[in-house]
Amino acid sequence: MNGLVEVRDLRKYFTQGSVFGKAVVKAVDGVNLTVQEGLTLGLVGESGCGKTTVGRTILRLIEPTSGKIMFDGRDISSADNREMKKLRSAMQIVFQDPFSSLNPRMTVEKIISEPLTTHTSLRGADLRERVSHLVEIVGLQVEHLKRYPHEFSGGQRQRIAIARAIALNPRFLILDEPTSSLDVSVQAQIINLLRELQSTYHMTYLFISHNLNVVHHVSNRISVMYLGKIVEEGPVTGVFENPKHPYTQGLISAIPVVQPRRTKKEIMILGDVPSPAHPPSGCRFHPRCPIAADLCKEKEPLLKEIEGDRSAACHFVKA
Amino acid sequence: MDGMGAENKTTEVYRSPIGRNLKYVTHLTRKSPLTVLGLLILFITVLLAVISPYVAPYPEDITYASHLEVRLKPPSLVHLFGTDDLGRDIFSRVIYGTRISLIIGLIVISIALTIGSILGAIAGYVGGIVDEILMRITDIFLSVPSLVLALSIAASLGPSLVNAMIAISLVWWPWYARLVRGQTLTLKELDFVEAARSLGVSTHVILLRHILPNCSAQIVVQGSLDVGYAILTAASLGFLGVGAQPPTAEWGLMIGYGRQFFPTWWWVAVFPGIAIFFVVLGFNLLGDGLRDILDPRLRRE
Amino acid sequence: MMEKILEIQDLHVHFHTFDGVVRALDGVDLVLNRSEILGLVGETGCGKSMCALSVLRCIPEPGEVARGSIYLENENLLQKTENEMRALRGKRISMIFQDPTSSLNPVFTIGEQLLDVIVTHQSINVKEAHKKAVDILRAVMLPDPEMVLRRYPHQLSRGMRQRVMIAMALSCNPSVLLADEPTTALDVTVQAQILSLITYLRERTGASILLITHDLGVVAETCDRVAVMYAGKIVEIGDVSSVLEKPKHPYTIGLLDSIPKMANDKPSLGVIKGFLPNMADPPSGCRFHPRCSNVMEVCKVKEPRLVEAERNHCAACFLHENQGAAS
Repeated sequence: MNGLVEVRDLRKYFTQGSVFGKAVVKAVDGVNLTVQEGLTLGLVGESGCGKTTVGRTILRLIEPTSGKIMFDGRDISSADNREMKKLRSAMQIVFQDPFSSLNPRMTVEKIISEPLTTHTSLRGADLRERVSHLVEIVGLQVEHLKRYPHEFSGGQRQRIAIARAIALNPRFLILDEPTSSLDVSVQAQIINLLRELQSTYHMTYLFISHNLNVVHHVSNRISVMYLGKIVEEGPVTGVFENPKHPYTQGLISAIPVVQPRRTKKEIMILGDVPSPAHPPSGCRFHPRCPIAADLCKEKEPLLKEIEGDRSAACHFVKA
Repeated sequence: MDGMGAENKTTEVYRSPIGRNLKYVTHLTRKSPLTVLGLLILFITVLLAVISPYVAPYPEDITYASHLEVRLKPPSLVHLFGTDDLGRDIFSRVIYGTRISLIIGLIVISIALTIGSILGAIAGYVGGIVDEILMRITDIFLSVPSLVLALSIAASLGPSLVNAMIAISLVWWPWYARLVRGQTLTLKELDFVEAARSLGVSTHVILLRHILPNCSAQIVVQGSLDVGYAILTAASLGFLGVGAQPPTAEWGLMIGYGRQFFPTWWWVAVFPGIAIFFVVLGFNLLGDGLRDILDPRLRRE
Repeated sequence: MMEKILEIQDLHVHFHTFDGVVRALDGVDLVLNRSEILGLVGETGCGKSMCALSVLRCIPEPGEVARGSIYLENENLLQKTENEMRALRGKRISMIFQDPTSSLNPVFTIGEQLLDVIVTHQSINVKEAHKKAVDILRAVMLPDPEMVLRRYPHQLSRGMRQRVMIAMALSCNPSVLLADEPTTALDVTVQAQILSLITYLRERTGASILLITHDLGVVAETCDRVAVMYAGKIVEIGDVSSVLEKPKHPYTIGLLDSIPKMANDKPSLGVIKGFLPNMADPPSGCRFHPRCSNVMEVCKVKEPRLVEAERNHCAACFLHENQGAAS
């Protein structure tokens, strides 16, 4: 299966340390992802799982320690600055915090023009026209172009960030927790906007979030991460209705849902999310897993295929 | 596109920032009369600097002149600040001195700010060995007391106002470099800088467009405080003879020159001294006031 | 028969800011019954945190209570002196906050902070207080309480810190616990643990809990009753099942529509048009009227009061004014 974006055995290790000793934080430790063109892959996990690092590494905002990143069939993992710059117009990102992702000293017009002035020769009236068009696509108005970010609400700023990200008609957009800082009603507007843009401009999304409700709503496929590894992946409906990995089961069981009469399996995952600097031996989930056995402490399970287009990394899940 | 036009008409929710900030500034200023005093002093200083040739009663006395018949006259209605040993009207010279001092201060600080900011931003953003080298250079400069260093540089370049200004600029830029470097370290972690990198914006453009404009608040505060000290330093150099040279009506020089007439003909040295005092005070108060206004902790959001 | 523990009557809290008077709370009426968990939901700026802070009389400057009363077991808290309030806080009413990291002092051990609370409010000696501390840490499901007491906050995970906060809050058996977004900063699996803990502790201690959150899912799973706030007012209040399954106020309906549900067909999420109002200059009449799809003429001029729309379920909306008597 060849996707628009493919990631093979991606690793990113950070060395943290001082004179007193160094620790290697394996933030991303062998991640495989495939994002099919025109579709959305949801990447979920809790804090410290490495999902944000994956996103930044794909765009080479952080350099991977090892692994392959393929975009449209081409290996970009070691592309130099000039090649990357050309690719930037095809791969973009929207950040989580709408308050720090816009330069407070630039007007909205300047913010949205920046990608265009960097990559195209659009200037003057043509540039202004394109920027005005972009601003309207995301639901703001031309009058807003002369304003500064601090004059807008969180939801509006996120729209500005989206306008900036789609200015160059990217094929691939990474959405790094785009609605986590927003109120529920605003979140709905942004999600609707993102879905419309995807269908209008045929974009491919990697949607990173810890909010499973939102991920379920926007994704076609989903990958679940835990401490730097993918523990389960597959079509979103299948994974949510019938999760195979104990962590996924616990995660889904833990989401508070509004329809209170829905009976769901009560699987409580105990303990706290461990720090990626000191991962447990063997299967990283074993200290918190309700079905852990001795095997799990010693041997790390590999992500193996089960039922065609689903995989899970657990010794007790049958292929 | 239901809900798309919903986020419209932000005018109702957010007011014009200029109007609001102006109101806020006047509100704060009223709470802090000292800042108002500082502003007043500076306003007068700048005004005098601009119109000095027209308000100085004896404009010809500003440079070389000789009216020995009125030499060393005490302050009177004819000569408000008295005359010096060449019979020159001190009041006119002090007034003209505002122009000289302000020019010195502004030029020196502008040069130091520019050099310091650029180097500091580059060091902070690029990091690594470039940062190390810059930090060691600034360490060297900062380890010597600024006046002593300026003195040595000015003396070795030769006594002149221009050389004094060069000397002071060279002594001052490390402070700004350090300041901007610190700010850059924080800024470069922010999402909008990463966004610029993800857009493929080149490093020098990131520095000019994203980093430096966001350092400006601190720089403005520090810079405005420093203009006062720059003037003081220039005056000190002039006093010691390595700055402005006679017959320039520079305050420091006038004080140095007036020492020999102290205390009998005290007015020759005292009035330029009072002028320096007020101008530096004005800048100090302004700088403090600006810091209060720009300090986010004091804002009531 | 529900016994009222905490009753807020017509509470108005005003902030005298630079932009004018901001009416953060504009006539809030709320009742918390014994041993119930009442959810208080709303979006940013609706005033839910302010309600809790008002009960504790910890409203930050430049705010103040302009009008109203707050009764704790029939005593008006707004008429108490600061000393009396200090004796109350931590003993009869406790509060836990969103961010456990900034609520615990980083330079003192957990033991020092927990004992501080216990000893302040109960006249027992240190040894007994220590025993109590161990007991309460055990009650919040912390393994190895003795070790936890010796640790500093940064040595514990966020989930454990939140448990410590809950322990501190419950250490003196308060009648009322105010929980301000206690799980918002936590991971989902840890959130589930903490919510389950809160429910368990309610059973065990009989405390009445005001659970403030923006997450309707949390409300659905944990609360008995829920109050929905908008722009400083309560717009709907009632039994959780009734409010969430049959919402009456257009804002509540809109809010529920905008939550992504895990259904197989994925329609566009419902959207509430417009934007949150400027609290220094709120809309006339019903605060929600500029955004309401059922707006009527009366909504623009008159403010609706809470009226009973169904049994144990009130809404402040003229759509229901005719149907029920005033609550």
